[in-house]
Amino acid sequence: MLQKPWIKIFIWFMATFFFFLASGVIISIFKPGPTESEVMQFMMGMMAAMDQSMMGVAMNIEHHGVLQEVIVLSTKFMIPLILISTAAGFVIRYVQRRNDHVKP
Amino acid sequence: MNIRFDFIMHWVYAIVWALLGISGFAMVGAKYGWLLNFDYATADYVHRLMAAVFVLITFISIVYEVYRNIKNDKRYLAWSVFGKSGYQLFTFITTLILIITGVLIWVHNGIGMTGMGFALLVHEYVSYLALAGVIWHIYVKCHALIWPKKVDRQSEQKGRGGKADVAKAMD
Amino acid sequence: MLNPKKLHFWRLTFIFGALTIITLFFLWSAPEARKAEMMTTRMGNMAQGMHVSNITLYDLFRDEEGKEQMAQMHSHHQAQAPIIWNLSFLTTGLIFLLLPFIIGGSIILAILWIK
Repeated sequence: MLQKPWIKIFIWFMATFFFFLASGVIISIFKPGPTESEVMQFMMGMMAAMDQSMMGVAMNIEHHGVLQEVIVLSTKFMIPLILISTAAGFVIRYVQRRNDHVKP
Repeated sequence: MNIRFDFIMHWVYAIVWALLGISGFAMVGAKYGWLLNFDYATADYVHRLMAAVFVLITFISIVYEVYRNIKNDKRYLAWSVFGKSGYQLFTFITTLILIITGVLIWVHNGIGMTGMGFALLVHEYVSYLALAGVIWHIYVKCHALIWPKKVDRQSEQKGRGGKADVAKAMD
Repeated sequence: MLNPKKLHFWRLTFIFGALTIITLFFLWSAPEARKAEMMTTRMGNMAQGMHVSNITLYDLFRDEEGKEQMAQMHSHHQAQAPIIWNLSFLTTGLIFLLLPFIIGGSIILAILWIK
């Protein structure tokens, strides 16, 4: 699988992309501070995102009844699930250890 | 062709991480905007969509790991995204931190501006750390970048579908 | 010293490192393009006020808190397409439903993996 040429090309592409990402971050950090036009463009982009993208929808999430219920539901789930998973973790661990003792 | 589950998960995770990275870093601040030509709307759109996919992949991987533990499967899966040691553990921890802070950012109405700022700070710095980790991972797994030799390819074509091919596929 | 197996990594590092350094060099040596002095709109003033230092996303959000009016304006002028509403609903629902299970699963794994 790993010897197929198309997989090699894909891996090279991914590696190059991550290098591009890293060098982009380094350039962004060390380049001269944001100029006026950059800040302008950035703010304009943010305003556009609030108007056109999901950011605006997420911003007034509290007016969305069903989603509010989903969030409340998941918050209710949280503590019982943490308790259940803690118990389940210890149970699985105990069973594994007992099996390890039985096997040899 | 023999394709393994963890192999697929690894590369889906890599693609989703790359998309999240490029769209996320373009939103960090005005200095970073050039990465996507200041198209904040597209970056936001891609970041939110991919975040859902990312959470789904994380969920599937965790369920798979728990299932393997219940089955008492002690094999080491080299391609698995999460694991109990080394880079797999690093990925696991950074993924959890990124998801939790990301969810806090998603509902920024609930936690106030101080919590929001803190969550964004943690999200940003952990993503730098994870990016550095990816570069380290590429360094360690660098042998995957070596192009297969011509001789190998010829022999591979000769023995296509044979047992040797399957054994190579499991490599 | 250079392991031949790592050759491709060093190749990528040197290429991208050189590109980064050249880009930074040209960016720093370019004539400074700040202080336009033509911004008379509100956005321009706002940007100018924050121009002082390195601006990151949280600064923008913190600033927005003060500008309650603008937030109001934006929450009333929603022009999103229905597909964006649906996608937002789907992604938010998925993330919030899966989050407790992810935390629970990671607790199980933490208990199992700690020696």
